[in-house]
Amino acid sequence: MTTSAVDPIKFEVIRNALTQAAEEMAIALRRSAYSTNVKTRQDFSCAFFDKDLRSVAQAFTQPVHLGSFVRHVPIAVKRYGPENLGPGDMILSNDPYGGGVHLNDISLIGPVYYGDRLVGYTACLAHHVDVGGGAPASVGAFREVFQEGIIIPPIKFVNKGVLDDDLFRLVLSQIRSKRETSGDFRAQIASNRTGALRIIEIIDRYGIDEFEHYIDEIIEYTDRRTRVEVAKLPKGVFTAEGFVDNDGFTDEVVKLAVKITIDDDGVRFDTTGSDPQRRAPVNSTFAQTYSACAYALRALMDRDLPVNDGFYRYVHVEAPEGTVTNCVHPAPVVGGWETHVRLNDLIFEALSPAMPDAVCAGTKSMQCHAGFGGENHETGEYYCFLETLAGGYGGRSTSDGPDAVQSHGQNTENAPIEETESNYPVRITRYELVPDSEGPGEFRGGLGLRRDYMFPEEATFTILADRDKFGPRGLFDGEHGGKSVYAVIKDGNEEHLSSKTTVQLQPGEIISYRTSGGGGYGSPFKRDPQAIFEDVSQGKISHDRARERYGVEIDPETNQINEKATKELRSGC
Amino acid sequence: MAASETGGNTDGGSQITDPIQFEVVRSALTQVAEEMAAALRRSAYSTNVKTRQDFSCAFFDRNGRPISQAFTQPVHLGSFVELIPTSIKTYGVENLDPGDMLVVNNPFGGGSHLNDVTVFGPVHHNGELVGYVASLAHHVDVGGGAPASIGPFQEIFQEGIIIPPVKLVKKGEMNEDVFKLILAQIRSKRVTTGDFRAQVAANTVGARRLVDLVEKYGVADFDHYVAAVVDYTDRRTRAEIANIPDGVYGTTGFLDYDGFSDKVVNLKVEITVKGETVFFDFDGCDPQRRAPVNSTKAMTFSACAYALRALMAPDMPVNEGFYRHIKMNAKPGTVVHAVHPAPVVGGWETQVRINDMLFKAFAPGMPTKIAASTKAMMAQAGFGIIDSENGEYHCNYEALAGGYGARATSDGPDAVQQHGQNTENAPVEEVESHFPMRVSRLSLIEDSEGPGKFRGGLGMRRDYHFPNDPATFTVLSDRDLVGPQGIFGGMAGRKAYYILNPGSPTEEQSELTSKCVVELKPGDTVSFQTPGGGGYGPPEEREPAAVLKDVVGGKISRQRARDLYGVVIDEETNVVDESATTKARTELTSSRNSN
Repeated sequence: MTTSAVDPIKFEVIRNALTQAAEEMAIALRRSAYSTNVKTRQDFSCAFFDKDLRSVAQAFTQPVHLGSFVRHVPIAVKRYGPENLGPGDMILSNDPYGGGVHLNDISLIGPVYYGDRLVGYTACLAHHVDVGGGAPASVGAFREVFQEGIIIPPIKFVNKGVLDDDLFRLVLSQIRSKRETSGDFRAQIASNRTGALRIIEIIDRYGIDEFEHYIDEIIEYTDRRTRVEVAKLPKGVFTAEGFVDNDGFTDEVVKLAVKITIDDDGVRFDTTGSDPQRRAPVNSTFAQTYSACAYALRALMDRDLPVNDGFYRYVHVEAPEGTVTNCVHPAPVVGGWETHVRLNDLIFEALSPAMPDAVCAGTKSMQCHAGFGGENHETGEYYCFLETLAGGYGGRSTSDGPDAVQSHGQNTENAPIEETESNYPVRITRYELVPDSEGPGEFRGGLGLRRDYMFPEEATFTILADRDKFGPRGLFDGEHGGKSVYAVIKDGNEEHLSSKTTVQLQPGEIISYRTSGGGGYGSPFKRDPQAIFEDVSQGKISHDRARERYGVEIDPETNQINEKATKELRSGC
Repeated sequence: MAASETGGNTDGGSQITDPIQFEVVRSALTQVAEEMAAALRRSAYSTNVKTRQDFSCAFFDRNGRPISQAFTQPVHLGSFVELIPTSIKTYGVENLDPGDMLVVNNPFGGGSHLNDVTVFGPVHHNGELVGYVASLAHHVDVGGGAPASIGPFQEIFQEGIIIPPVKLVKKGEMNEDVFKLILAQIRSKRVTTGDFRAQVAANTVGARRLVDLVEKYGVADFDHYVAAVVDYTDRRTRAEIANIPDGVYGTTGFLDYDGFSDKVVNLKVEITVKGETVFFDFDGCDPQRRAPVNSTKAMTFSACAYALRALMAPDMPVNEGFYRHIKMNAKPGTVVHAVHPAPVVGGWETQVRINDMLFKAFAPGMPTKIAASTKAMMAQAGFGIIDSENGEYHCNYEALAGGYGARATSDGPDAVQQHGQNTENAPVEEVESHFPMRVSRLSLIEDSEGPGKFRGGLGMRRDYHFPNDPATFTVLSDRDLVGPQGIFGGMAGRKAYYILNPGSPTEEQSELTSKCVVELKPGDTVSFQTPGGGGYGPPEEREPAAVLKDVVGGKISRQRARDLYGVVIDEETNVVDESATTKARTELTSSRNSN
């Protein structure tokens, strides 16, 4: 611990400066990246770790990544050997069985030196739009990690400030979208450099001793506050069981189980009872499961609580090896984020009886990937594109679930149609909310969305998603949200597809996604008729549905709530 | 081919060439490559390299021109001709230091399929570049869509790690990060690590022997004799080509199945021989496909090189002086010159079918030199099993023998490799001790030969049984439509069969295609049955004594002997019934004439 004084103002200044260093890393990455997925959807994360590899500061980026960093960064650095690193070096790593997640998420980690003294590590992760493997965008129903793309154990990508040409070329040779991806790699290098510069500036100002002292303080402060937050949580053992709808090969659901124990010793998550891993895109690595639990715990706490080692040390996760929540080599891992986020829904469901105001009903709780690629006939280049589609969020105790948003630890942005259409040979022919897809409730779930992709040239398209069997669950008498539909439209004829499949498209063919609506919260018959009226006026809920599911009659001609009919409908229940 | 640069080998000029010294140096250069091969074979780990000898070694001069080769795999050696100079140029000779070695397999930069990974490096003497030594090994797995990295893939990205020229060894030290990154993609890490180190060892041995040679003769003499060897080979090649009757030799052919559609893959070649020149024109071959049927340019070149060399005197050396005479037109974007991002794993299947066609094209011009159709495919079988005890991912790869085509004066041998494919058998004892599987059958296939005056060789059956563990099995092969054709009245051999659980009740047995990946459960068996070779000449002209020998040896059934050869053999005495045979043969001839 510390005996020297802590100036509370200096503490705040340094704490924010460290966060700002990570934020500037994010800005540098975003501004130099090439792919839509990184520069616009912001599917990346940045953080700073101290010299002992404790997490210190994070940019407001992707919680899914940030939680996994806590596992991956220390493992990668120790595997390479910190003694083998020096000023200007950076290591590249994505190994799922070396603390990583799925192969697209590639981390670049750089030690920061003040003079010749190691003061910490900057780390940035980018979801690269393609990393090779079985299908463009490297998503698909794969059986083994070897089919999924390039596997990168920690290697020295940048050596004393110079990019290692041989390694760079070797990595890029596996990748379809070479031009965009080389730009994104260079953006990661720029991001780490920026972070290092800012850290050095902080040390220039305060000196190394104070710098290290205040880092200890920040972590201790966070630890104290987290302990208080944990003590506020209801004690008990909370369980929930759920599943991923199918696995891309069979129709068998993938069972997930979670048990959360909260007592005087803290919070423990246990996923025992989850299905054994499969040769199918449904396996999460330990880092992915850990990040789900970290996200869940953080979401239950005070808004302004910092996130660093002082918080992460309270996340205890037991996930049996060889299950879909902690898969072992050579299981495929591309579907790991799907399973991870379904776990998040279950954690909140488990806690709902004890903390009804802190949780929401079921969300889309899938990434909902849309990946595609092919040869751009105009440029001759092999392009790849990836995005994840939003869906309805679950209703809450005092508000509806928002329509068409990402869920839980997934914080990526929309890919604007204008940008997508100008950079890639695709046309978005429909982009809208899906009426009547919400889970009815006193507070309804959010609507899902529809996005149709039309390809004027041949392309390979992969759907890696879920929710095609069951919609997100409601809470406290709230009802299920609508399930998803994935379809291909050829000459006007629609054919449903699996949620985990790769298809070859001919010119003119269309892929249509209709994502799931969120679960409802509370009985729909208790919903404020005025709220229903607004939903109907906006075209979100149909008259029929308003009547049948909510017991609210709205006269289509007068456009007014028929109070009498509504009362009758609602008294019947 | 490599451009000649200043400072390179001269044509000997006014220096006298001592014929004995010439032979000694020429053989010593070959011996460099042979010792590389010995070192590789003795240090490799995988059955495919150490026992099947699916590798090649060669020496190139300082301009990247091929000078000498070990007696290894002609398919590889021919492809080296483009790969080595292209790789040197891509990397930049100025970026190479003494003790460096590059690793490369890029199919679109002169390579073949991804499994064939070349490690090569410059050799220096007193700081001066002397040449390059290269070894290529078919690695049993290079990652990608299926264990052993073979399968019906649609794009290169699905096939395994693609390696542009990068340094595997830097100034004598392994480049750890590059090595680690390559191995991370590979299932069979332990075995493949050993095979890579064996390639490095082979190159190191080659470099030492070369330096010894240069030490012995001095650089000037060494260069002089290298140039002389190339010139000599050039002169002899021209003379050999001149011996082939001038003309245009053409033929068409096809690959039976592409793994996805029922459209055969059409192949066409026209060879023009004029004086001392030869030109191979592949115009008319199908466009490349998203399927395992595409050959790279280097692979197609190696087919032409092999075919031409096979028609020449056995004692002729093979080097730049020979290769430079192979002129070829293979349009980019076709199955004989695939371009990025075509899958290339099936390229050797196409390549060897082309080889068969080249001989078929030449047959009318030189009927006594040409054999009937062979299996004319690699016939690749791969499998992967995860060891349930230690988690090691075992991968195995082999290419299976089949019947060779009959010749003008002799039968086609049973169960051999063909043309540029020179790999050995993987002994049952060895594979059974390395992998948790059993070869439950290894036999010649009775009645699979193409009947003829000289019969085609029998095909071979190898059954793979996996008693305890689930496994992934790949067939990458062909001939599931028709067997190899006979010539000059000879008949076709039996086509290939690939059967899952042969002999089981109908629900469990199924016929596989020639290009598939199957997930096996414990207890399953895959039966790989290769085709018989085509026959040469009408079967009713075969010596009855030869037919008798085949029947007594269990190779041909009594029934077939009578029905197709018209030879009647007494069941009890096992003696040819002369009069019945005469009668049967008369019938055969007349029914043939009337049809």
